[in-house]
Amino acid sequence: MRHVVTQPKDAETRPLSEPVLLILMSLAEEPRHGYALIKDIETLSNGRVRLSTGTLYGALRRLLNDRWIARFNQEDKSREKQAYKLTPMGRRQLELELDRMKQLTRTATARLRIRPV
Amino acid sequence: MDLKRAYDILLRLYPADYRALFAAEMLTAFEEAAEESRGHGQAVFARFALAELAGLVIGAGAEWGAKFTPVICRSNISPSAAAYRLLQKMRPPGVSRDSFYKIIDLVDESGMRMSSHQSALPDEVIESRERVLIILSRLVDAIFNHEFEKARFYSDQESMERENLRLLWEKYKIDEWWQAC
Repeated sequence: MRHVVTQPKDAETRPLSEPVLLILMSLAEEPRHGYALIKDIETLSNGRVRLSTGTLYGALRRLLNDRWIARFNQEDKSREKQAYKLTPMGRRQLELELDRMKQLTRTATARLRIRPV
Repeated sequence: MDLKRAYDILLRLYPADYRALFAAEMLTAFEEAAEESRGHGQAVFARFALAELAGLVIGAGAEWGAKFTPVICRSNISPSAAAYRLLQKMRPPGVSRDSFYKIIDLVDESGMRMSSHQSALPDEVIESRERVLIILSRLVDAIFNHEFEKARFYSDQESMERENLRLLWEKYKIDEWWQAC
């Protein structure tokens, strides 16, 4: 079997960084605000990743610029607890990343089945 | 140590537009996270505090880096990379080298990218940006040493120098130059 590795064509097809992937995963379930994101990401990663607020909001700013996420208006929430939601473009990027990871997993599994001579 | 105060001071390192958009939210999220960390003991809280403060410095460097990407061409180093290097030299007293670098590694996710542009900029713009970085390093050092009066002084100095940089930016129409890059 031959596995063809293609080079990323642009920023949108590059592998996502771990914080970005975890943020998108968290928002795929429901809109969340900053601290809820930090807690959910900690849970998603089994306690391995705990984002600092500086890292989290830096990533949120970039994701807002790329329009992968959007601010989510909650009538009963104060401005200090702004929630964020995944946009259709962000959901598409997450799906693309999952497809890429599945392909990698299949490849790695196939290679592990080959016994060393 | 008044961690909220230190956090509030470090938030001023971010560009004004970023602060207008996120500062209040960041402070709220930080307070909630701090409250939770306090409940897990002093060691956990100390690690949390260090990661948060270092994360702010790296984050602010990255935000200025994103803003000044064309501005940094001549010096061959981005502001976020410069902030990172400065931070590496600032291990707070009482914190082991291993723990400090481990935390720096944890917060080093801000994507320090070098610019591929090689255009030149006026010397006074480059010098002003370097002064901002030097004041920033002194500010962080003062906070780590709990010298809040000194930190406030450097914070004011940093605001003035940043305003000076903004005026230079306008003077040389760097916005237009940026778009032409």
